[in-house]
Amino acid sequence: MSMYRTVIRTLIFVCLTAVLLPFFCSCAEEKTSEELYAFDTYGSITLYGSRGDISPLKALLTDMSGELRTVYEADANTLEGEYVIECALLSSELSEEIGGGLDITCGALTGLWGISSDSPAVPSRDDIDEALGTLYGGFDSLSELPDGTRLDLGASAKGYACDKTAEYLEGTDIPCAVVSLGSSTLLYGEKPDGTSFKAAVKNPSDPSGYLGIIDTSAAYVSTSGGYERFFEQDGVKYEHILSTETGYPVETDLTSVTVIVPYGTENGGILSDMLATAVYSGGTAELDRYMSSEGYYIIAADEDNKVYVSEGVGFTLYENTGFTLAK
Amino acid sequence: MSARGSALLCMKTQASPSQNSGRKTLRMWDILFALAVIAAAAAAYFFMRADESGTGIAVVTANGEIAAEIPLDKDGVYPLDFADMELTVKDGGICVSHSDCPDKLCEKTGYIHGGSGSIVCLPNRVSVRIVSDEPDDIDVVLN
Repeated sequence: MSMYRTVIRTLIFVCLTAVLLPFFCSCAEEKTSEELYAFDTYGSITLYGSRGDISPLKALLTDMSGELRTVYEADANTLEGEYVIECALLSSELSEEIGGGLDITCGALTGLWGISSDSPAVPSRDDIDEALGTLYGGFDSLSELPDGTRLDLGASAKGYACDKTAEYLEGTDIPCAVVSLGSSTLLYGEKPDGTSFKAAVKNPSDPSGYLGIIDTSAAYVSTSGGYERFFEQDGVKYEHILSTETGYPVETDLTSVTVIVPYGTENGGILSDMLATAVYSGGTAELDRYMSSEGYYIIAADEDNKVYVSEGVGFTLYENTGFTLAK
Repeated sequence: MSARGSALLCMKTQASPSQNSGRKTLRMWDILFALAVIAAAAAAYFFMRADESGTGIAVVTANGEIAAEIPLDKDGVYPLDFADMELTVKDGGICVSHSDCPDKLCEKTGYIHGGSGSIVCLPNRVSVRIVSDEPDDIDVVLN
């Protein structure tokens, strides 16, 4: 009798556990997420396995975004602010290191086109030539820049913010976080369930679907593509990345470029951001040079629907996207 | 559930000193109870699954703050009162059917369904995202 009762009790216990287990599991995988509008785009902050408070990080990013956007309103030699100066000098240094025609003193040119503004328009040739005259190239301090030269941190501010975010997170007890600032993303720490991060790359031919999934440990990931920001005038499509040689949007046969820089790389965030723009602008002609470089990984798609993937990167191409892996 | 459980355990204590026939009743009750618990577990499991993978909800944000939530189980047209935009829900998907923005990029994105990205209208600072249908294994979508 008592053994019989024990069996029944065990059975009841097992059944109750089965009912309640899912609730406990969902607590262990706890994550908190919030959206934010910063750097002229939508982003999100997700903290994993922690009851950490998102608001200080949100405030930091909003602050940085506000300060960095002042570069579009004044000549470079009048700019102030810790973030602006640090980001500008780092961008200048890395532009020369990366090459590929990056020049962050192109603010007058991008302002002229206003591609990210409410009323973009193709400027006159004279205006373009005048804006091209304000290009300065590399510099060691903002005060050395002439009047009329403006900065454009569009290819570096978000990456820089990812670096600053990583710096902030390392000073907290938050074990894992995903901070997305639109084109640049920080994948920080290790997920509580021990699995790798999965980042979806948008399909450049159909931005409502995915091209595939990147599988990676902690990293900085930046994406560049013509499908994100552009405008049309007289039936011609003008993309948002401008050539400092022609003054017109860059001509490239790549449609989407993603650069992955492993976590721990110095200035990895800003590096991934600037590389994404440089690789995209260089097209397939320059792609081999970047693909064979060490320290970062590339996933690039071209107009012929071919996808180039660096060796050593975990990338799963989705089926039925119309794209095939090159080589 | 625990209240029901303790009531039955109580019955069991009362029934324990009885003879053979009582024991049979007891066994029947215990088995019934065990079956009931299993049924409840199964029901809870399917309920939670349905909750996770059922028709989604589109979350609309303006300036990064949640401004509206639109259920996707019913077709309809939803004009937004915080932007000159109109959303259309059809067959569990949602699209921007009208926007006053200059680039119309949001309209060109077309319908999104569960797990296939989001619609963003940068000029209006509005984003539309389907939440409950997002596949669990994707941590972030690169834009």
